[in-house]
Amino acid sequence: MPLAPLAVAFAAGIALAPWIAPRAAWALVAAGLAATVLVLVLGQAAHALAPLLAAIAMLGALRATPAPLAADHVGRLPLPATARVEARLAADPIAWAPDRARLALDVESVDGVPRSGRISLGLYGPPPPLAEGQRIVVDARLERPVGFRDPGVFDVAARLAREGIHVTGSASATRVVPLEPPAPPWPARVRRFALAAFAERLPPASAGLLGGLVLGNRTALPADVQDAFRRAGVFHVLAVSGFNVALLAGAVWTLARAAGSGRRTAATGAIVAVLGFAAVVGPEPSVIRATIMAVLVLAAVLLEREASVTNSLALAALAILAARPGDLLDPGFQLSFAATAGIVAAPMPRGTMAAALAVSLAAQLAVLPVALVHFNQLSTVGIIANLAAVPLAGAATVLGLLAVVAAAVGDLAAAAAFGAVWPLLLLLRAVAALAAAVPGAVIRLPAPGAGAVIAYAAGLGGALAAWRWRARRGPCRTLAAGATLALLTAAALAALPILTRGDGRLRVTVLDVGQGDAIVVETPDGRAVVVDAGAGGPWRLDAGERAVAPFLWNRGVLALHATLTTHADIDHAGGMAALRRLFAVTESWDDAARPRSVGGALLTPIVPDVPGGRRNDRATMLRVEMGLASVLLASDVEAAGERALLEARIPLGATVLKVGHHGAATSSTAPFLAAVRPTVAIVSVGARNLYGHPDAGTLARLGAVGARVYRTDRDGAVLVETDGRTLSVTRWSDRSVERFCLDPETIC
Amino acid sequence: MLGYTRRQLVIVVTVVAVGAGGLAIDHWRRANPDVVAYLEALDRAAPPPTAREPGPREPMARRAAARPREDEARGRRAHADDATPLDVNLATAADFERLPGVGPALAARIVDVRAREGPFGSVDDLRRVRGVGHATLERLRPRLAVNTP
Repeated sequence: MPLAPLAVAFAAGIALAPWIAPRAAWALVAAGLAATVLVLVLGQAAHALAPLLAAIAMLGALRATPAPLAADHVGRLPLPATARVEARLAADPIAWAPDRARLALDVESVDGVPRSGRISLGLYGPPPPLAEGQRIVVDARLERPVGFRDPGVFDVAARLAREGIHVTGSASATRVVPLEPPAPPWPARVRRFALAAFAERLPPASAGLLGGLVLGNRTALPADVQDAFRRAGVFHVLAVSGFNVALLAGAVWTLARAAGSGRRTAATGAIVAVLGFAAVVGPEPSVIRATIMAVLVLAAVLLEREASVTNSLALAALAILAARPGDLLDPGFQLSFAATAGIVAAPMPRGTMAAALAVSLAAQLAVLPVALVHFNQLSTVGIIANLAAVPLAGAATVLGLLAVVAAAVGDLAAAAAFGAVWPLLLLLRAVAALAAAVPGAVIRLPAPGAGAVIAYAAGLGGALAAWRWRARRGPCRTLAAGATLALLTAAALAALPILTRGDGRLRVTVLDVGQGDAIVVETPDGRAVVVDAGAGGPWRLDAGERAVAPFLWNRGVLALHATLTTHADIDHAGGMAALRRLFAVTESWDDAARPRSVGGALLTPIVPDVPGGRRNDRATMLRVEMGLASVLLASDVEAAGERALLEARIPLGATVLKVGHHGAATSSTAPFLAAVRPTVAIVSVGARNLYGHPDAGTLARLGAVGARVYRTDRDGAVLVETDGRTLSVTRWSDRSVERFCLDPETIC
Repeated sequence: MLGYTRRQLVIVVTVVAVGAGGLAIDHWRRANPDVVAYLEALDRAAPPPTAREPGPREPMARRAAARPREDEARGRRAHADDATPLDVNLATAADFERLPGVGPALAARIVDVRAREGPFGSVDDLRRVRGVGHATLERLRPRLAVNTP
């Protein structure tokens, strides 16, 4: 029985869930099933599929509709709160930086009251030795997850909600008290043993690479090496995938068969090995997919039946989505299923080399929209790099698996296995480094919309169908023409954001980057200037990389005209390094403060002259003007700087003011605001920041001069757009738009 | 041939060859640690290939020049042990929390006072913060410093 249509219908239902009311879904399920039965009773089996698929899609929608939280769920607590949490570790801690770890905790009680639910807890400081399953008590600050709410930027809060996490916390590692000694379950012990053996017997970077290849654990792999793999388009070998599972099953099968055991024994052994491996590496969607498919294929051997690869793929999808519907939007799920489907569907030419190229090409074509949607990445060298990297990674993975066994056996065996795997690791790194060094290895593009992705999928499907029916001229020609048309449509739709830049309007976007400033100015001719890029650097979320860069790419901005770092504070300058790495930047305005005319807008940096003043008071302001509209970006300038500007009689009047220093009490003095007279005031400030920004007095002063106040902590990104006579301001959190008329002579 | 199939022979030869090769490489690796270090550093010596003028490192360098102590303090937090004194004007709330007897609330208050009233002139100046008394100050003194003007 072909399962693929059912899986696709179920997935479509999950994707449509946010727009379908549960009652309507239940009604449609009942109606669909009734219609199916009716059609079958009437003997029209051919027409029974459509209502059945509709019913299954609605089941998917119902499955994806979140259930209300349990009465004792930790998400029902009034937050933020500081509380004593007793909980059990749901997984081993993830150390994502030398001094930072993340724990997934199943809560047992909060302040002595029994509670349920899972939270994600960030620890700073060197963590104590903790293991999966261990019970701990910790004094933590509990909060609702807040991500960056910006156009085209990944919202971490939405992802956590899909995983059923509605509360996050943070605590010092010294506040964690274990309630019992660590007693990790056997999969965690095997994983630790393997990683310890790698670290002991290989140089650090190579050990990190082997940990990624064999177990998908990249914590010990230096960031620059990971970056090279990403640029080379071979990053997938560092994640555990069907590739590892297939290699393991194949290795066990080959060895067992060579040892003279029968097909059934070999298949049983391979099933046990695959299930054990899946337990050790953890429940990634790609691992579950590969495990289900491998077990089905091996079970078919046991039962002496023919296995259908397409069917096992569909069954794997159904099983994963039924258990965790949120995985549908997970990049790992999408990459894994897209690549496998591409390889299964593509025609395979004869000859090893041609087949390898075909597999690489099919996988790259299938994952292309996924990589663009989630990472804005188009790999140009990936198809070639994979031809060298995949065999090397495969050999290293098999040897790495053997090395884990060898390390348990004895010193000599371990020396042989690690000695054999090391040159392969070096070669693999060399391949990645060479491919990454090719100019234009990665092209960054805006994420395609649903229309472009559907057109692309239709184009690929049409091309496949045309190939299948190539013997018949007529239909083949029609299909080929249709496929070409669909692919061209997809390309045109995807390129739309780039082609429509420079529409004569000035846009200033104050991005939500938590506590910090990141502002993008888009001039009327489509060029972009970035003023500050939020917090960044190691040990913290890099706002430049995670928020500003994806915002720019998805706007169709592929290169920057200029950057301006207003002052050296980490919450303004931190993200700039990542931005300069990811974009070609024509000019830097950090040093020379002179007015510049860019595509019909005038941009004037203003530096307060405060001799010996504090860093904030010497920060660079930027004034952006077009027609009747003007925007003053006041950086972190405080009272002394404001006074200096007023005394120097610098013109300050502006329609829009980016309020100084996140709305602190020490900025936005009454005389300064009287000089600016803003209609719109935007406070760039992080929710729950430690400094008490914005200050109530400052907000009152802004209200007193008649300014409409917008805040990034409540409104998400604030988007200002003007044609020089009218002004519209959008709050990204609820997409509400307000319009302001600047020209008193006209009606708008 | 002694009852081995061709397939079995291929596998045995492969296993033996890989094992022997591995042992040889392992032996060589132990004898030539400097060559190993050189090979290991090959793909890491060059800056990331995205490097453009003025390069990804330069803004960091410029910032380091402007605020040497801040970068120093950050590096300290990451690498050195807790025995190195913490600059009270550069430390974050997280840094303060790692000091003995400093909880999230006190750490937040210290940072808050610093933001509101300006930097601390000396370690004793911490007395401005509600909750920092004589005893706390004496306990923390060996681990704190004021390097900033």
